[in-house]
Amino acid sequence: MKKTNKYVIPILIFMILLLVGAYAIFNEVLFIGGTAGTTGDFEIQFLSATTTNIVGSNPTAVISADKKTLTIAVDDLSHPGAGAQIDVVVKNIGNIPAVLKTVDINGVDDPDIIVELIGVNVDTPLDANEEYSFSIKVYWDPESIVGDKDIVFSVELEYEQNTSTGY
Amino acid sequence: MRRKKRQKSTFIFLIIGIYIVILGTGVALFSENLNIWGTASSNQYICSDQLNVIPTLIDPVNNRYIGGGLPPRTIVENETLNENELTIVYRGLHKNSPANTVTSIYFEINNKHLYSMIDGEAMVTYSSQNNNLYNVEPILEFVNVGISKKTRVTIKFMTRLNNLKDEVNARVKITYTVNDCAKNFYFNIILLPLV
Repeated sequence: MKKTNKYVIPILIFMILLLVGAYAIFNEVLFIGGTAGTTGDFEIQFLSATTTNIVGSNPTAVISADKKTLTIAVDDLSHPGAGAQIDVVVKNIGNIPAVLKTVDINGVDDPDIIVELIGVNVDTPLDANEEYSFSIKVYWDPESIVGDKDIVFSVELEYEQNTSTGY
Repeated sequence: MRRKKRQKSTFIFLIIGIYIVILGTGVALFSENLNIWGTASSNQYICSDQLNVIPTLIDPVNNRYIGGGLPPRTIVENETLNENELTIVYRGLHKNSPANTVTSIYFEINNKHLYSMIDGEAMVTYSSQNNNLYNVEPILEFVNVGISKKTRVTIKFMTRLNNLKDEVNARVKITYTVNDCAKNFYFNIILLPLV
């Protein structure tokens, strides 16, 4: 009995060594080295604003120096139905995809002078280097019989990083 | 013991505070607002007198504006509607047409305004070469016409087209009030004898 034990232990050790050796022969580790950094640039700007469809008015559309503010004036609407359309182009000049999150419109509740946003849709994505066009229509309601009005309005477009396009 | 507990709470709040600040900074980095500022102003209102309607043919199957009651043996050669002017060319095949023949010309106008047209009235002035036209009567089907609705306009007249050369010019003035503003539509009818 003692003789058997004497051989069993060395055999087991030998088998373990063999197994380890075999594993070592057929095992290889590949290393991939790399670096990752965040160089994100999130920037949306007004690219252009053009006045079109001008009827009985003298509209102006001016983009600020930092290209973050657009100032529109549609003054001296001469008669009901007079107005103008401003075609606006916004561009994502950064390298992060954006999405139009909210549109906040104020001062457009006058029944006689109508301000319409055409083609402005929340959740519209704006990928890096892409452009987005929409229009603003300002006109004196053709059926209005109330003149001598002044209105002030504002539109705030909030863009956020588009997380739905990430990994 | 109590002091230690307080220190621990302060530490947790501090960590949460730092986390919120980091989160806020992160959101601020990837969010941007574009602003549009606008002004608009209108001049004093002057009521425009143009009624926004489009005249159309009532009976496109028979393709006719002029209705029944034509003097006997009178044939309509053609009718042309050019914007608000209807020209009817006719041919009379008789020399002594009976008097008191009632003839009607029909057309429709539809309300293109964003308001109802109310208190409708129609008037007609006319001239006839040999005074062969009389009892000219314009009739509006509806005094009030809703948005996008139509109304029939009938011009009835009596005629003796007995010399076959009568040219008739009629001017129909249709007036409706739209949003407190009286507006007019003028429709011209020309009856031309075919020589």
